[in-house]
Amino acid sequence: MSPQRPRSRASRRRGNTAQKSPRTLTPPTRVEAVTDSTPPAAGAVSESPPPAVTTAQRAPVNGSEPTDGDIVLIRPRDPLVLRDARPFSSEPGARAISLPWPLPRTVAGTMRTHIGNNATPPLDWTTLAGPTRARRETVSHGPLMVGQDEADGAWHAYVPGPRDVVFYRPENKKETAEDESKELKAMVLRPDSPDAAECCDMPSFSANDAEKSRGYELAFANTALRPLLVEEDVKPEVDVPSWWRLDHAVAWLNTTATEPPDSLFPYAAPDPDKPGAPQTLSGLKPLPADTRVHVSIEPGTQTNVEGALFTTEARAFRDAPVAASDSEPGEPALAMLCKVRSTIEWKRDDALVPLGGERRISSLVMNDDDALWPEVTYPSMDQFEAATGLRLLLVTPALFRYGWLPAWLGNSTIPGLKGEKVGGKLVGAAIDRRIPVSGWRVAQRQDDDNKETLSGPRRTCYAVPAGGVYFFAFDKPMERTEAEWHAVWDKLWLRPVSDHGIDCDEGFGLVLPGLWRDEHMEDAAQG
Amino acid sequence: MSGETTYLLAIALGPVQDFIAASRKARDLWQGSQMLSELSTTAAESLESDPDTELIFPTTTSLGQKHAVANKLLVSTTGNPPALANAARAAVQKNLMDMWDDLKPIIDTLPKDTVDPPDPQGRRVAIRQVADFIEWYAAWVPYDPGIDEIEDPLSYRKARKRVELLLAGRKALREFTPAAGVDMRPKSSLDPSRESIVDFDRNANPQAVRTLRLKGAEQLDAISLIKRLTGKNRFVSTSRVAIDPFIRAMEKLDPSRLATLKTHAKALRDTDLVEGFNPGEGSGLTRYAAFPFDSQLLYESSAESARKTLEKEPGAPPTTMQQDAVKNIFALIRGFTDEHREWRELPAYYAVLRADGDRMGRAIGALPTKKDHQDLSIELGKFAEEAGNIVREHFGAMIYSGGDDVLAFLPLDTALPCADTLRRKFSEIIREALAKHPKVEQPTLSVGVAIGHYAEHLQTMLKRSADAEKAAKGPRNALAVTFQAHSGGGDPRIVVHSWDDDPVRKFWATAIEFHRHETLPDGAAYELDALRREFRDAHKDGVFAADAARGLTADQVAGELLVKETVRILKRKRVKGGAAKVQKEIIDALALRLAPQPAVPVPDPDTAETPPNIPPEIDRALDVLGKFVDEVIVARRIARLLGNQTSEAVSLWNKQSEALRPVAMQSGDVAGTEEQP
Repeated sequence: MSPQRPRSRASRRRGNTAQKSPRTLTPPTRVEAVTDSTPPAAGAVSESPPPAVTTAQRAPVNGSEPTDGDIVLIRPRDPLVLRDARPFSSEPGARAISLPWPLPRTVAGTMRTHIGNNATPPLDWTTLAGPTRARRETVSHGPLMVGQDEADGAWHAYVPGPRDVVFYRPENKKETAEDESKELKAMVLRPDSPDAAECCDMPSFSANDAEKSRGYELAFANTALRPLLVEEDVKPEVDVPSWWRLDHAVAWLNTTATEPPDSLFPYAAPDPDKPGAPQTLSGLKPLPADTRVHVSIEPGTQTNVEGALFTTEARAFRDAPVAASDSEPGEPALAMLCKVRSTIEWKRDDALVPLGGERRISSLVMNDDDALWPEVTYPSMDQFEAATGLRLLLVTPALFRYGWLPAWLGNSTIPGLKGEKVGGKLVGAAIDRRIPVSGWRVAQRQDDDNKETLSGPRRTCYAVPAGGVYFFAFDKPMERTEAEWHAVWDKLWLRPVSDHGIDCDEGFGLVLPGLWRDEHMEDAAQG
Repeated sequence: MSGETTYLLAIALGPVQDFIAASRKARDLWQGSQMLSELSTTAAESLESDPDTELIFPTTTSLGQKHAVANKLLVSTTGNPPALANAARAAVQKNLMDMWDDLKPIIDTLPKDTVDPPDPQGRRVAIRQVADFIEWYAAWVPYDPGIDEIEDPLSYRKARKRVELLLAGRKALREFTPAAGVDMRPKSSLDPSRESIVDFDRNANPQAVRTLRLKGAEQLDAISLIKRLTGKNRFVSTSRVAIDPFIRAMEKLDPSRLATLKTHAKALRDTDLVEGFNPGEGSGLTRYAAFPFDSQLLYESSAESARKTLEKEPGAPPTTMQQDAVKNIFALIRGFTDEHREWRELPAYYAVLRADGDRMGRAIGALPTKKDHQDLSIELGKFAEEAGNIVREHFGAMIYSGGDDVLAFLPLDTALPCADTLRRKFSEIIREALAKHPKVEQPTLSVGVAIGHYAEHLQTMLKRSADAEKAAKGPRNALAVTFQAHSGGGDPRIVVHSWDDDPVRKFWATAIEFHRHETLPDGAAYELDALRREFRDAHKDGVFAADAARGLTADQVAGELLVKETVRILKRKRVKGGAAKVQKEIIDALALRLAPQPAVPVPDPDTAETPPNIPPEIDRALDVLGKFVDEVIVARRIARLLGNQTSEAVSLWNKQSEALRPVAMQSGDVAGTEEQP
């Protein structure tokens, strides 16, 4: 869906830092974040994510106070160095590998620093007070991938391709020159019938598990895991976009059909100039890696060290849209979008900030009329009524207490849905291999024993990668009005579901809600 | 015996990708592959130890052999599948833990807590890293071994299909437990998802650096340390593979100098500068016996830089003997290259070869019985074993060979003949294996070869070889070759030829001959490449217009111009020091590749006129020209290596290509006498 936006072309800016008149702002009215984002006591599971972000769009009036956080468009001016955790030095053959997309924490940290530097008065980074305050009083949700087309100048959100559908090219049975058809087909992955679960080793709670806590057992108690039904042995097409436009993803999430029509998927329109070309999906490829070869310099002589070549890799954001030509489709300019709330008083001017490694510069564009936080899109009432469960698509990586398994399952409710009674058991998941999340703690901090520790590497955590889909089955048929359903959607839309408040505040585990219909369960029941 | 239900049990164990990704050096990759194969073997042996269980993939026969065991297992059992799977998993877990425990004697020689020190809470991470490592997925379905009717849902064939799909559905959920992370520790240099357990002061403890075989500032996690220290034998480095043609030449031309070189290398053995490996029987490295050392010293550009490298070694300053050895090695190499000028530039490029059977899944699915699968499993084992021999014959180093998968490093001069031999052997074995099943389509072998500098990052080379293999898998039954110069930017192009076209002989050997006989000047390829880019951009910008009078589309007009321009450029070129023109036959052959003519032009019955040649579409012509340019550029490097040696390498080429003769050399060297228009 395209975000609701005013058509004032005058206010349109392309990532330059043209100034709005400097504003002094009063603190945002919503202050719940402060209490909510306080790190939970060790071992405690955060009951809820940060406070409700109402989905009503902020009033798009220049100079008015955003009531719902600031929407920050982050436009990298240089390719970003987003190093993985491997140590890196300039020794011969060394290579700095960049993550394909910044972790939420990277962006949250940048925003906290920026807010602290621009606070009145600026936060004092030399003591613990400044960093602690910045962390406790700032919430950053994102980054979302956004793209700007040549055509309308608006920034549209993209989300990682959902893992509960696989695209493939069916093999031609006939002996033709081409082995595979040019057409793409979608194989929908849904939890198989419950019988299937008895024929494989789905994860389960065992008293021998290293993690023997009661919470772990409770979380498992609220699962009835089934494998996903793979109907055909296909070779997944690898050349599919890793990012879908948000509206395409939402159409997919809202459907309850197990055999959805082709029109539901973002198949690219056939190119009239290239008849017979293989069908493709529209969306974005991963950011290209910008690889640079460097040579070490001998400090004494300022000459190069023989053979000491090393390589750095960075991720390049296309800085201006490429217009469609006769032979090539257009390509959008790319940037990141982030929603930031802070109770710290700070100057909300456009700015240049370093982001990621090597102090590569990004430009922050504050509250641009063309870059709005995506507005919630609701399924139709028919879709709500046909559904037998919820789906959650992870838009950013999620950190859960028990690895892949959310601890909040033990509370029988998805965070934010307390009192809504739409929970149900977790019956399946389509999630890829874990990704490590660590980083470098710049600020000093107090450890559990109240001792100050130095800055240094953070411990590794494992996150469920974005694009993962969790399936929940309602315990009983839901009888809710449209307004009630919308209230549920409002509470889930682009909201974090990580277990710990601090992770939620950094933007880990943002989800898009979806629906599904458990036809394999029905088949099993009938059969 | 649990009664009468028979099950098919399928197991996948991992992580494979993480193992491959966690390697910066050839030996990490090789050791990781060995380790995974060993764990798979453990799983298979655990299953086999159950009297009610029978192995299918792999078979009992193939377990005892030298080749690797794949990480996917299939067995038939009348026992209790979940219990069997759990027992196998426990056996694998125990094996891995034993590998860690086996390091204790080595670690215990170092000061306490040098390796895996406790965190402030007294916990150590190594054990948790080892315990969390294995990924394990299992699925099982009942079937009736008595049913022969292949369409019966309880038949073996249907059940196998079902169990594979069920396993795929199970693997959709790649569960994991929380990380065993510790604050304030650097992460492993090989795998960023785990903390280092060797974060100690390197200068204060050079002995530990040596004992743990650490390089520079390298950090290792528990799994990586197992990989590093478990191997009884070391593996060759990429530089040793790359320089092999030079060693072979030295062995042939000046064996006494090579012997002296070995003596010097021995003096430096087990410093950071020279590492020895054992090329004995069973090591897979017998072909490197002439010089069983890894050393970058051979490549040092000056004695001075070699000395500096030596001084950077941690620990005690170099002894006089070591310093002398460094100097001597340099002088020795220089002496040889002065006498044999063709070796002035040492071979620094090598090839990563990846091969994979095409449509194996389809062939396996088409075979009806368990026995058929066991037979095929044995035959694939044979291929894996043969592949090992073939790679060795071509002076290569095998990283992994299991089933229809091959991953190997090869010197540049033998990589392409090796690829060709592999695919012939694969077809031969498959033909025999499927002789009883004429209706089953015979799988072919697709091979990707990535050529790069030995100092190129290993992950980059692996990625390129995977890209090449993928490109070959597009059309299938193909050879894809990709080349990139060291520090060269941009994406390397990939040249794909179907094996049906016999590309090693027809294209690669020919292109090599161009260089060996100087029939094509070096600059021609680069000029043609510039032309190609120019035309591509002009075409993109819509410069070319259709020619209505001749009934040609814009694409055809562009194609025609490209062919003419190519011919013009080649006609202008001079070879053999300006003494001769490029042979007409070579130019014609290229023109024909760019614009294939109909075999016999058919005259129009109405007008009795022979139709004009149809010019090629520009996209196709650009593609062919790009291929040609790449062939010539890559071939130039290979040709230099083949040089004027009459070594085994040349005979390997000869075996492939009957005779290394250029397409148009018969007419003698009086080339291209016609005048330019």
